[in-house]
Amino acid sequence: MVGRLGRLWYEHRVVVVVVVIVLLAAAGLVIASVFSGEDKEASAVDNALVQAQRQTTKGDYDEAYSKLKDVENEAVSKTEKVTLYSELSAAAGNAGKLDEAISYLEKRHQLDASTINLDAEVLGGYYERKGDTAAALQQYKLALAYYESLPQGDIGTQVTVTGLKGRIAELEGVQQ
Amino acid sequence: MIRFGRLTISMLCALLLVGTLFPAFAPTKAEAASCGGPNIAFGRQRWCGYFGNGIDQNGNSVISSGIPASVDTTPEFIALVKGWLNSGDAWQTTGAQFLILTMIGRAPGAPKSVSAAELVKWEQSVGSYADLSTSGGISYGTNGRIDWNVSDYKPCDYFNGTYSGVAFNNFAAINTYYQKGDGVGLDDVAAYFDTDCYTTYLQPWQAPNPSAVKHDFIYFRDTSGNVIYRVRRLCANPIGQLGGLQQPQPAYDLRPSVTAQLAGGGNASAGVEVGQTVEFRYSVLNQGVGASPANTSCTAYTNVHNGYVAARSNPATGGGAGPPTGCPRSFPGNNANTPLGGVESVVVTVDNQTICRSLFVSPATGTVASRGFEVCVQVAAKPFVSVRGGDVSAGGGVETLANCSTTNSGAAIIGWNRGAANGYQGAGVQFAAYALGTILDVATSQGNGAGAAATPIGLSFANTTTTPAAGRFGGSFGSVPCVSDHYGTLPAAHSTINSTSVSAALASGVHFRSGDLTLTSGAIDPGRKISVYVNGDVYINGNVTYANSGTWSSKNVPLFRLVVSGDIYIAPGVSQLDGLYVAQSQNGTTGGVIHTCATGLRAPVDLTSLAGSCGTQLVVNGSFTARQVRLLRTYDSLRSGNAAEIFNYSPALWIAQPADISTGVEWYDSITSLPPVL
Repeated sequence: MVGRLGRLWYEHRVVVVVVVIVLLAAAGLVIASVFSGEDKEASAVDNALVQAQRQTTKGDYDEAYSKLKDVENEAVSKTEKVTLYSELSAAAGNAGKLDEAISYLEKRHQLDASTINLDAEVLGGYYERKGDTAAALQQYKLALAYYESLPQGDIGTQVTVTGLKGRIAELEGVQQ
Repeated sequence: MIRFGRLTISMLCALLLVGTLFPAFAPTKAEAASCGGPNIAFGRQRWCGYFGNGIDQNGNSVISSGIPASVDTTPEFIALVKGWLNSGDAWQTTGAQFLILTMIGRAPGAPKSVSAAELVKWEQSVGSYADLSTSGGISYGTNGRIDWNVSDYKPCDYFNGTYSGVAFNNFAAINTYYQKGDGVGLDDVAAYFDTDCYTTYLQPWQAPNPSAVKHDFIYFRDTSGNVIYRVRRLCANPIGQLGGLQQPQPAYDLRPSVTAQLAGGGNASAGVEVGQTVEFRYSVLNQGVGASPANTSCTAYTNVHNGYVAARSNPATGGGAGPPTGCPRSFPGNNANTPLGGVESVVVTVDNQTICRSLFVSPATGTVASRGFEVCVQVAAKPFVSVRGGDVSAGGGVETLANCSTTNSGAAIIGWNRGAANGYQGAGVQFAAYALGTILDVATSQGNGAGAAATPIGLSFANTTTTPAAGRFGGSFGSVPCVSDHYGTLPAAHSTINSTSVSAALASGVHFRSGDLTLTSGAIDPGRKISVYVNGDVYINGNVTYANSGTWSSKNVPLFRLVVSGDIYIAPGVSQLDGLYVAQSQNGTTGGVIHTCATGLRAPVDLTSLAGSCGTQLVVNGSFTARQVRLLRTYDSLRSGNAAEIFNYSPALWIAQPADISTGVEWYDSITSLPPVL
């Protein structure tokens, strides 16, 4: 087997080297396009996302929410909707509209279940703000399980894990 | 020999591709390190504890249980943090100490404890962001606001370098962690790079950073909306390169003020003259947000000093009674400036004085009992120089020096001038002024008839950059003529002066003195031509005049030339000098100075004594050439119109040829003058 593979490598080594070079060149082109942005035009949703983030940075949460609401029905692809719902949820939560914030995250999770774990911390916060301790605990535990599944060598993961454990312990104390 | 199959090669290519596409988000491997490199936050390096500067790359949240969602007012927040501080648990206590001390902007290091004063300062600072109102999860205060629930990304910045011994080249947020110590027991808080962050550096369609996750925060914003302190709720971690909160603004903060202006306009800070009127205005500025008490007192004082006295930055009460202020009263806040009384007009009658006015308010703030302010106006003569029949040039070096015509940007011509309102009376020159540096308050083309170039800048070289209203009448000329090496013309054939003191009325011819010389008064008879060369300093203690003026013919115009390789000092009583006076520097940087008022060799009158010692007018019928001319006469003042020093440059100076002329004839066959006359 090894001898056969070695013979294949020997016979096609030039082709393989060329393929490697082509792949590396392609990777460079992809990076260039990603960072130059010259080959893609921003959509209305993209622009709204950026504007909403700027408004959030400035502290104008109502305006951020308004910008995103304006394009809510313009998201076409699943990826675009998944991103937009996340931002709409945050903007609604920042504007004090907790039910809408939760609703947008639920929509997002229906589209892409892989985001459930990522959003669990924020969703737990919404429920905690609403006074729904049980739901908050459920989300925090979901988040904890997710972060505990990650490699624990990273300080950020360690910090989040200990924070979630502390929040859970405190909320469980409140429940009892 | 190692051989690779097709699958191996494909996997290798894929790895290469992935590694090339996402280098920015590859995790940084923690390695053994020690503190070093740039500070990244709170005055500390990466992974290095705020209190003890110890390094630990493992950690917990700053506070074990974070900040509950129910905490959304400053009393709740303060109570929560104080609870941690006094919990007796090392982790919570350290986290609270870190939060409190970094929020008040304390530098890193010991002590770790929070003093009672620091705790009060922190509570007041936090409260100042919420002391006005609260609405919709946002508290508003005099120093800014607090957004209690913000779902947002951690903000990225770009870092590239070696931090605590480990290279980092990536976008990252500054995050913090409690250094649990791994048995080391650091019990401290440090900062680290967190790549879970958002950056607007990316293009719009790349936002948000796909790897970033939103979190819940509390934001402290300043009055412009900038986030100045950011805490992640889940862990109470401060996040970002944060400064401290602002101190609470006092309810009232009174700043007394007195201004002095010349009646009719003009700045009195440059000194006033006898006969002018100074207007003092009193006011109180309240930089606080609230009004001062109704019984706030304010008192004005007058003080007059002989000579020059500087205004005190922290004056004491006392002096004569100033004008009524209308106090006690309350002063409104929010930077309201309240004038007190009317304008106090003071007619200046005595010179060489300092007139001061001060104003005191009490209380100045809730904790400052009194605050005072003083302004002083110097009453002084403003003597000036007048040059008739010739030019003034500043900046030319002796011709034997390198770059003698172009490299002296400090060469300025400076005087006192009354400006446009008074026809540019005062310091001036009838014809041109050339300066490599500034021409300040010295008018050119002064006193000429109709059709002449306009005063004060018409004959300024250069006059491309002028602001006459501010006294800038020109200057910054590109080059001026170099100065002849007068001392170098000393002829071999000369008589030697052995005495240290001689009359100026020497015999015709060239005289040389090696060493200092005192020149006493002398009248130079018609036809006499005297050149005196001195290798030393010269003190002129008497008038040097041409005798029998009005009786000369073109062939017997007298001539006196004094050429000194050193300095020339002129006694206070000397009122007239006829001829050419040269003080030449041998190196271009020292010596070569003419002092128009001095009590002896190397003894120019001290600046504080000029008013009393140098009040005689000096008339020079001829010219001065020197590295520097110090015009020290204080005869009269600007407002009188009489110059302290007058230079009359007439043909008498050049019609008579020097006695040491080596070639040619001694007189002219004919003379004519053609424009331009400069």
